[in-house]
Amino acid sequence: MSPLATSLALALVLAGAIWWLSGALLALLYPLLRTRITRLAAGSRCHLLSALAALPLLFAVAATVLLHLPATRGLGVAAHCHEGIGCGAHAPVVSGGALSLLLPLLAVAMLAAGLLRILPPLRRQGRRARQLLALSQRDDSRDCAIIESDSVFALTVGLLRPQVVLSRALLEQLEPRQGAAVLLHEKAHARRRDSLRQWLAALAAPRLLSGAGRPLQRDLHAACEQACDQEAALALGDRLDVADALLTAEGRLPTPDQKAPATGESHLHDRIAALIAPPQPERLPLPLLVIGVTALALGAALVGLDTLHHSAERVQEWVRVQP
Amino acid sequence: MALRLYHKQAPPLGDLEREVMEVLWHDGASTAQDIHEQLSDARGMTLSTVQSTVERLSRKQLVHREKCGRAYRYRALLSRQQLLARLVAELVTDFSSTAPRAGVGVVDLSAGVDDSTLRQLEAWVADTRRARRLEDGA
Repeated sequence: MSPLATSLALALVLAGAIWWLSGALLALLYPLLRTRITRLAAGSRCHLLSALAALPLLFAVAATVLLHLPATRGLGVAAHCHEGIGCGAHAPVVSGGALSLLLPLLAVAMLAAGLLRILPPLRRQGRRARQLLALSQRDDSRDCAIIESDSVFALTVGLLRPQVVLSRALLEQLEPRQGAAVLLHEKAHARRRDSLRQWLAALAAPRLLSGAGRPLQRDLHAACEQACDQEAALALGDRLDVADALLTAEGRLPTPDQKAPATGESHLHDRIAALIAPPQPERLPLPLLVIGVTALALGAALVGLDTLHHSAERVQEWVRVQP
Repeated sequence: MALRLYHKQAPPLGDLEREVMEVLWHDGASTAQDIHEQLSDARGMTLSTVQSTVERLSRKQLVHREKCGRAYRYRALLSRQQLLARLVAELVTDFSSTAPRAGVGVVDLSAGVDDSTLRQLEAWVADTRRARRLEDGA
């Protein structure tokens, strides 16, 4: 195995390990932050939760790059010496032997697992969405697709170019003002790219933490829904009309047989409560959060660089001396 | 599985397959020749293309074929509504899963709010509306 391939494999495995550990730390700390976060206005909460979801991955990437880039590898790592490479700044050293074979195998397995996690669901959902849109009729006056269906539903499908799909039954069974509220809500999802946001947040959560990252994902989903309710209310001019539309749509849903398996995670009560309450000011603009989270990830990576460097070398040493 | 009405997955349909299904939904049971006559002007396709397309649909269990003289007649096994219902149910299941999802819905079709909760929420909104009207009047 060439030294470059071994170094790349080490970088990938390191990034994966840092990602997993920082994701576990975030999942542990999130319940402590949750009470404060849920007090924020829906739009700000949505941005903050998206940023928090991305933080472990950002930190892992920042730390791995800082550890390996020749220009930065000396930063934050105390001077120390290794046999063969002397005492200069260096990336974590792969000490040869079985490790130089094991690391690439581990890296390939990680990459394959990641791709398997992303591609099949994406392909399947994309195919279904395309098929649904192909069977729909374009309604230019409403700027959405209409499905001739007896079931009441409204969806926003697609990641990069999201499209709103309404059922004919929804338009017929809801009052025009309620139908307008639903359409405005879905258009808010499309404009805000909420599908993409939630998709990326789900991807950024380390997979091995069974269920530990779910509270954040659930809160992000709820925040996105509430943010779109608020946008619809603002455009419609009456918050209670949006609440009425939500309740009417919920009441007209298919019978339990026709629903998807119940997950017991309805946010309806919170959404209605938020619409009845006066609107809250949005205090966290997205650009500020992006800068803040990037700075936090870089800062944390710089602070922890020495520990990460020596931990990586200690783990390698431990693997090397195993019989 | 809870999706009793939609227990089968909607099979993927290509553009041509969808157009053939549209003909069958519109005209009812038809031979490949009938379908070809409907589609050949718009698509300029050959009869054998239509025949292979309906055969593919038959293998996907979307159409049923029966011998009628020397030809086969094809009949859609799923109505347009049923196919749509399957697709929507599958998308909703995708969106409500914990895996990455490529869409969102206005109401959580998978969340299952019971009737009494719904009535309570409706009463809450109605009371608030009434109270606001009284405040505005006063």
